Amino acid sequence: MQFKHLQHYVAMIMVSSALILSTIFSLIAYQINQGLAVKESERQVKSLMSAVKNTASAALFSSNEAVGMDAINGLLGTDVVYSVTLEGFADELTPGMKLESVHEDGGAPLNTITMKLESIFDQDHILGELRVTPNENWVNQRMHETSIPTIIGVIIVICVSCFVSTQALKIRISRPLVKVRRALKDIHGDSEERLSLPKHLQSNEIGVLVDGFNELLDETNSAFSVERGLRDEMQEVQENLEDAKAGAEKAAQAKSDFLATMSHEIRTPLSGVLGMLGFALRDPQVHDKTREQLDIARSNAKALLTIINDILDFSKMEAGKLNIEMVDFDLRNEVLSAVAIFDDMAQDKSLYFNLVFDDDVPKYVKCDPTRIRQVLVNLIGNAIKFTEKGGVDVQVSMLELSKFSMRLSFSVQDSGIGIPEEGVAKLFQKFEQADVSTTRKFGGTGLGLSISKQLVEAMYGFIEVSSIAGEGSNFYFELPMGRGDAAACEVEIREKKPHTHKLHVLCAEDFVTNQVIARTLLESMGHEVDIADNGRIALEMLLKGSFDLVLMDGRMPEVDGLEATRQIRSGVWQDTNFKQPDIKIVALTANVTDEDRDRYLAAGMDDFLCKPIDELELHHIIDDTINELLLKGRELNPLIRASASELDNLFSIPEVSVPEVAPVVEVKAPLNEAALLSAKLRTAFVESLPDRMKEITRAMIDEDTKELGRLFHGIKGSAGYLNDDVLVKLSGELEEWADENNMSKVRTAFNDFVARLKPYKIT
Amino acid sequence: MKNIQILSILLFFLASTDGWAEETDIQMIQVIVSSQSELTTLNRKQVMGLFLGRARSFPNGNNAKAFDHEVGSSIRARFFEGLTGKSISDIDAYWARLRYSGRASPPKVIDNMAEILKEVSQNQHAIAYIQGQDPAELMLQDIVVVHTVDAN
Repeated sequence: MQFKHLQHYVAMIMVSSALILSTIFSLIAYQINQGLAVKESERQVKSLMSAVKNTASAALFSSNEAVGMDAINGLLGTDVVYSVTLEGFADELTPGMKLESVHEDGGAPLNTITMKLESIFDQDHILGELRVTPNENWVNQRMHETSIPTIIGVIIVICVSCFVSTQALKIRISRPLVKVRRALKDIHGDSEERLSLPKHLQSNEIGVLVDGFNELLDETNSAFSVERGLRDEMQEVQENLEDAKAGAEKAAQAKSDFLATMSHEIRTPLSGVLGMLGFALRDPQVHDKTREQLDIARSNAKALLTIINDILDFSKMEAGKLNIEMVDFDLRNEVLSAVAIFDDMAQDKSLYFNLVFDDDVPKYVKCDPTRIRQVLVNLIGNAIKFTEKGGVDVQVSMLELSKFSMRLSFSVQDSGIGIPEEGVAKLFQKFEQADVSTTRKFGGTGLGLSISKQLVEAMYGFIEVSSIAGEGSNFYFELPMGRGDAAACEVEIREKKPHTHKLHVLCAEDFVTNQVIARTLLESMGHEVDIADNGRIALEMLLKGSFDLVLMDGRMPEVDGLEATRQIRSGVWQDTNFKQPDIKIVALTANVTDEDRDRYLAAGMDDFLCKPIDELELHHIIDDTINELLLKGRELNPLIRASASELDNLFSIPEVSVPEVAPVVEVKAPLNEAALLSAKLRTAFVESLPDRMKEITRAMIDEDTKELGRLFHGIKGSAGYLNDDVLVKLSGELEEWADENNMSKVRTAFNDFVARLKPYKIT
Repeated sequence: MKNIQILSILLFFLASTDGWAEETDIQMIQVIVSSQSELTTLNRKQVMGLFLGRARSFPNGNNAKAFDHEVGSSIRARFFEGLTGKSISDIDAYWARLRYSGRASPPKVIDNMAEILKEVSQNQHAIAYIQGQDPAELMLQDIVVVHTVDAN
């Protein structure tokens, strides 16, 4: 709203009052003037009548009409008279007379004024009457003449007094108030200023108002100071809280980092142990008893690795670094291979183990297979661990199915010791088991269920447990999944062909065990390996020698993997140019988080290999490297392991003609022979596989161990030449157990064997 | 008649006091008419009407014609002052008002006593006033005194 000065408002009131007063006073003045004018007219008429009285009287006395008319005309000669009547009464001497006349300019009569006319000679003798009416026109005119100045005078007086009052008001009230208003603008929340008024306004309503405001201001000021104090306090508290939070976060981070580092530090030597045990078991010269001991050592090491992995997962969850993938996969295959290990475990404890897929569960789904496997392994592992008699039932059911998604339930029911009611609540908490005695009796970290719960929840599912102590437990979880794409599931499977060319590989790795593993794996694939103990040595070697591939550990003393990679990519180190600044560099790393990946890629690395090194992955990477180098036009030494004729005999395949391949320099066996060998080996094995599998399956059903021993022996032989050491080992073990008539072990290992054959099923 | 009785008593009183009574008689102004007019007496009001222009006939209906003395004469002043109680200037002002309109008819002036008596005796319509005449002598000339004015 627009600001308006109080004086304007007052002036408005004054002006309107002035108007009203002027009107009223004008009307009153008009009335008074009218009365006055009427009286004046009467007075004038009377005086005129007095003036003509004697003449009129004489006229009546002598009955002289002419004289009478003279008197009448004399009266009518003034404007104040409207009409005149002169009447003489009859008596014994005269018959009487009556004369009448009206003012020639017209007008209107007012009240008649009558005058008795007595004889001049005898006061008691009434001769007649003189009747005169004053003229209204004269009265009106007179009124106007007198009223207008009166009214103007009144209006002027009223207006002047209004103006004077307004000015007085303006000076005495409005201006001080305007000053107060200005002062008010400058007064802020906590200013010390107060409003002040001139003395004459202090003791009236305005004074009270201003006093009230000042009091309010005092109160506001005190409220402000209190509020400011509170705010400061809050600030302090908040700062303390933030410090505390930062401290807590730092501590949590330190804990997670410590766990991660510790797990990593433990995993690295453990990988070495596992790798070494693996190599030792491959050695055919190892005695059976020693082999058994090595086997136990390996399974213990594996168990230890599982625990370490749990801790690593847990610390990742703590740090919020757990990633869930979404990939298409074959659910049944995945679950089957996950639970395969438990068949054997259950049999060892004389338990039954059933896995049931409801018919409507689709074959292909989209979710994180690794995590589902982890959860299932954990739950089933627990179930078997805590069950002494009876067995374990695993059921996978479909709950909902829509166009793009579905909801599946997984149930693991055992007939074990169960969990007491009070234990159920803390079951999924970290480091908690149903009770302490459990830990003593059954062992375990208490992390498994906590991790399972977090994994299921990370996949937007939930997990719950129902249990009756002494009768068994039922672990149940539901997961939403996408509908899988069958085509996408098949792509992942990759053949493991023997390498066609020999590479010169530089492995930069400070840990001796890993050096040995890397060297063993690479040499077993037929490649030449040089080891550098740290990044600096690796760089020196790269400056001097010629290499095709670098395997680079991330963490190394002196110069780490990232720094070394950056130097190679920059092309210069210690003023010397690298021969191949674009050489393929593959990171060897134990903890592959997205963050790590980004860091490695940013440094200029091309690929990653997880430690412990997966032989298959290493194989694929080298395969890719060979192809890339060939495409670039690099000349590489061809690689061959066995002669074609040997293989032909082994697989009883007639010689086939293969297309000529360009001869290669420096050959142990000619390249065409190598290619021929490789192709023949694979084709023959793949072609014969379906028939062989049928025979094996039949023999499994019939429990014909003799037949099985023969068949596994055959596979072992072929696998040796396919360069598939694992298959060699697996089929070797199976052959051994078949020979020993140990069907349960054969069954247990059979799943791994089938999984190992997967790559060969597709050509 | 009453006036005459009063006058008779007054006259008797005056006659008994020596010398003064005659003087008093001289002061009396007599209003006279012809005996042929058949009038015996006129009251004051009637006399005033006839001499001041109000009445133009006698009470019996016969026309009347008043005769006056010369303006400024002593008798005229005494007559009108005695008759009306007003000063002679008032009477003159009255006539002046009437004359102003131009149609006034004041009585005809005859300044000779003998002329007056002759006129009255011969004219039955005439009326005039005289001073100090014996009514009996007047009767002989066929003149009747119808009113007297004490003018002192």
